[in-house]
Order: sequence, then C-alpha cells, then structure tokens
Amino acid sequence: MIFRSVIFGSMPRSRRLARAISRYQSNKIDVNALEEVYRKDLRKFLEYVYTNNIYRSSDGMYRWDDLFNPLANYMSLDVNGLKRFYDNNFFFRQPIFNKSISYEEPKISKTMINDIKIIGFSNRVERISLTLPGPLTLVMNSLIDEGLYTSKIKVAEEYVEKVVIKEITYAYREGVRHIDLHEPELAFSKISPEILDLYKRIAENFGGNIWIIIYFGYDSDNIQLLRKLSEEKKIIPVVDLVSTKPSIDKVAEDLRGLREYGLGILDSRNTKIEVLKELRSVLEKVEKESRDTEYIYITHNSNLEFLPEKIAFRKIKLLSRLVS
Amino acid sequence: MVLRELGVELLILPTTVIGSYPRPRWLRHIIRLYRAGRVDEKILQESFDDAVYTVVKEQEDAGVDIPSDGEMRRDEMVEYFAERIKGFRFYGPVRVWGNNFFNKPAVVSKLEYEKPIVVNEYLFLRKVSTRKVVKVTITGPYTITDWSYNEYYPSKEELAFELAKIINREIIELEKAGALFVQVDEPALTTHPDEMEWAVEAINEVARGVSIKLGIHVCYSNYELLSKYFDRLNFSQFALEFANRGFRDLEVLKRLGDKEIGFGVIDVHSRRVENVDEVVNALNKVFKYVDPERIYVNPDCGLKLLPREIAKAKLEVMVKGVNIVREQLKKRGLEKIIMRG
Repeated sequence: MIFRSVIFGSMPRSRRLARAISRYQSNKIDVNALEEVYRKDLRKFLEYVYTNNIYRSSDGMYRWDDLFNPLANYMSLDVNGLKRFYDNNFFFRQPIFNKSISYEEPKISKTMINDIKIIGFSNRVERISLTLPGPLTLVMNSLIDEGLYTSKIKVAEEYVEKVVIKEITYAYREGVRHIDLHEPELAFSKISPEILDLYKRIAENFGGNIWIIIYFGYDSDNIQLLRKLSEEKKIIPVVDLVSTKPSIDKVAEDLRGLREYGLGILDSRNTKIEVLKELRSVLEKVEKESRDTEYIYITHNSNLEFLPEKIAFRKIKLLSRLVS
Repeated sequence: MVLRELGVELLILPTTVIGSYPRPRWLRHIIRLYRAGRVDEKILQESFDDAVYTVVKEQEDAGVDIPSDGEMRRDEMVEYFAERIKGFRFYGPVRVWGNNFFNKPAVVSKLEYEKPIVVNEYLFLRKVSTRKVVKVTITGPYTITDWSYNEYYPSKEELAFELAKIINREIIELEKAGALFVQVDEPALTTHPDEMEWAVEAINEVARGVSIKLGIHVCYSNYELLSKYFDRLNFSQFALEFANRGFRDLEVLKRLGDKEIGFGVIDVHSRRVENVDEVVNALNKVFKYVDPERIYVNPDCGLKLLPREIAKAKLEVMVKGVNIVREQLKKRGLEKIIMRG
C-alpha cells in the first residue's frame, strides 16, 4: 500500500488578494491588476504544493467566494442573502433556482486552465483538480422554486447535465485528470439511488478520477453505498476522520476492498498543529486494516480556508512530512 | 427564575439598541491613521471618547430610552474580548463571507482574567448619557468559544466554562461600578443543537451571583430550539430579531413565561427605513403573545453596518411607532413599568 498526500478545496485568501479585490470593487485598480494578484497567489500556492511533493491538489479556489459562487452567477441564477455554511462561522450566498440553468461555456475550467497556462504550470495540469459542488450539496443548500421543479433531484439532474458534464469534458480535453465534487451534505443526508446514478453519469463522462469529498461528519451507510459504486467506477471517496471522530476500524471496514480512497486526518478547523508521531500511529493502524488497498490519500478534513493563511501552509508542510 | 423589581421606573415599552452603532467617518479615518502609525494612542482614545459622545447624543435625540456607547471602541465582538483576556493568540484573519474577514483568535494557554474589560467603557457611557439606564454589551462565553480555535482545553465545553467564569467576573465588576443593565450577546448559541444542553449551563454561569438586569441577545438563529431553553436560561430578557423574519415565529414567545422580550422591530440588514405603521403593527402583533409590560423595543441587531444617517432614521421611526402605541396603552392605564432583573 502507498500513502499519498492530497490537497483539496479552498485555501485562505491572502491579505494581498483581499485588498486587491476590495480596491477593484471600489474602482481603485483595474481588472488586469486584480488578475495579476490572483495569479501571484495561485503560483505561490502551487509552487508550495510542488515543493512539498503533494501528489495532487486543487487550484486553491482563490476565485471563489464560497462553494457556490461565482458558479451560481455563471449559471445565470440569482442568489439569496447570507446563510451559514453548515456549523461554521462562515456564510455563503444561496443560489435560487427559479429559472432554468443557462450555461453557455465551461467557465470554471476555462478560467482555471487559462490561469495555469499563464503562470507556467501547464506541464502539471494533470495533478491539479477542478472543483465543483456535488449535486446533492448544491440542491440542499439552494432555494428551489417548487412551481418550476417538481423535486430537488430534478435540479440536481439539470445541474449535472448542463454544468458538470460540460465542465469536466472541457477539463479532460485540456489535460485535467482529477475532478473534486464537494459533498459535505453526504455527512448529513442519506444518499438516494438517483444521486448515485448522477455520480455514475459523471464518472462515465470523464476519463480520470472523480473524487467525492465528504466533510463535517461521517455517515457509514452513505460510505458503504459509495464504496459499491467506487468498485465499478473511477470514483474515489474522501472521508473526514476529524469532525466526528469515527473509529478507524469502522472506516476501514466501510471502505474495505477499495483500490483507493482518501482520509482527512489533519484538522482544518483548528490551528493546533498535529503531532507527527500521533498521526503516524493512525496511519499504521489504517495500514493494518486496509490490506487490499493500493493507495490511501492522506489529506485535511475540510477546506484549509477555515484556517489563517500561515497555519494552512504549515499544515500542508506537515502533510508532506507525514507521507514522506 | 423569579424576576425582581430593581426600583427603576421606565416608560412602558422602553426603547433601546442592541449595541453597535455606525462609527463616524472621522473616527474611521483616525483609526486608519493610527494603524499606519500616523497618530498616537492618546489621540485615538480621545477620538473614541468623542465618538461615544456623538453617538449617544444621536440615540438620545432619536428618543431612545436606554442607549449604549455604540461599541465605538470595538472592531469585532469576539476579537475585542480575546485581545483583553490572557491566553489568546492571533495568527491572522479568516474569511467569514465574501471579502469580509475577522481575526479569529486561538486559545493557546490557560485563560486568565487580568483586569476589567469594559468597566471603563461603562463608566464613560454613564458620564455621557442623560438617561437613567444605559446598556452595556458583552460577548457571551459560548460565542467566544465557538468563534475561536481551541488549542489548549481538552474540550470545547471546558473552554466555554472557563470563559463563563471570566465573563461572570466582568459582570460582577460592572455591577460594582453601578451598571444596571448588561446584555450578553450569544449569536452562536443555537448553531450546534447537540451542544445546547451544556452551552446553556455555561451561559448561566455568567449570571451567577449577579443582581442587576441581565439580557441575552440571540439573532439569526433557530428560535424554536432556543425557546425550549427560555425557562432554563437565567436571564430576565431575550433580545431577539423579528423584523428580518417578517415577524414570523412569534408563537415561540408563548414559552417566555414571566420573562421579557427585547423585541426586534427594525431590520438592520436593509437600508430601507421602515415606516411608523410597520412598527405599530409589529407591536400590536406581539401583544397577542406577550403583555406590554414585558416588552422592550429595539432593532434586530447592532446597527454598525448601516450608513449612520440611516441608522439614526431607523431609530427615530422605531421611537415614533412606540410613542403611538404608548398613547393607546395609556388609555388602558398602562404608562410605566419597573425595571426587573
């Protein structure tokens, strides 16, 4: 078995970038100046990831305000007031599905790939993942016009057909080999056969890996269902070992037989830096319990953006040391 | 909990604020200069004092019965207290939404109460205000816990109880200094329903041995859940937000028992200034659930995110609406109340 390190999701927005966004919004700098700062931060992050031998990472989601924005805007949706993002002191704007999704071009992947090209990281694009909200998490955190959609699943289906497939098809053509679907909702809501079908549909349309990332909790039934799906498709579940502290034995049992899966073992909601020795003993236990597994991806339990920037970078370094 | 009369007479439906008020532009400018090292601490403190004079006068001009100091000296409700309690450390800002950040503190050693935190704020406010009663706000132990990183205590619960002891000490100091009305702010209280049981116990610790009036402010929260704990929370008043939710959920107030409501009638997240009829209607609506003698009237939450002129206009409308209702109540012989704690 091989342990590999993985980074997913959003990184903390730097003070420099926050200032640039604020200055852009008050017309004090132009869009080119703002773009330059975005790319400086992206380069700094990807260089750090590369230097620390992280197997694959997201693009840090520097352009995202939250998991649903600017995507909601690209889908031509309105957004509602602020809503708490699960149990965090972090708020997002709720997408409102009161009209059909209109999605002309794969703007998320196009922007990401363009950024990667400009900063000179094209040769590493296959190790940089494209992030999208999972269909279940999106619909459970949106306002839906019941006159227009007869059920939440209809919205999820439309989102997958019109947005996800368009994004991942373009991304694959441009060399992206990892798609991260953020599904924290799978820690709280039972997975339905329709949602499982949507994951299948996504996987069938992508030649690389589909990562289903679950955080803020652990639902054993959902993980077992995902495992069955992962056995057939190129789907890699990533689970949170920190928030509700499920036992290693139980998690290993739920994921038994899978060729690869991810474990979020660093706490991205606490500044305390974990002790390497203690983390290694967790990995030893995992190793004993997962003999059939080829790769275990070691990562943080949720977005690193919940930490101050310098602590987030320290945790990446720790992840690197842990796996090396 | 049996409420006691505190011997202070107030007009029925006392009007008050939740706490924060927009900082005057000139104060924001001076804070920027201070941070850039271009003015010294003395000038900054003098500016804070002058700003308190200004915003207390604005509240009183609007007709508010129980003003606050507008929290002029506080950048943020958790950060301010964490900076003044030994054991916290700041690593840098974290984003809360959009491009808005706060300096989320981390608890890195045993927490210690070193010296009074807001007593001087109270004393200055008392000197400035012409009103019989002023309000002092203090962030509650559960919210400070929930909005901090915990590197030191074995559990979140232990951290919350430690903070509760510190906040309790501060409230006792405020009482010794003459404060009559302290409001504990707990916006995070219902965020984790599975923690409510011990969170309520921790919050009650702040009320231990306190004889003055204690209110608790909980906003943008699950009031159905909160109302199950009205009886157990040792506070005489619940300051809640209702304008934002279109005055729905008022039925939960049936569970208040003998306690009071700080009734939120002004939406602080909208720049539209309410009209007087809206305030009058809201009050007539809440009378179906709570007797007028047990109602204080306030905006939903702190006003600090509004432009100053709008904040003042909203307070004026709130007071005008209350005065109309007071006239109606006068005909029923209801004119005054005795403050209870």
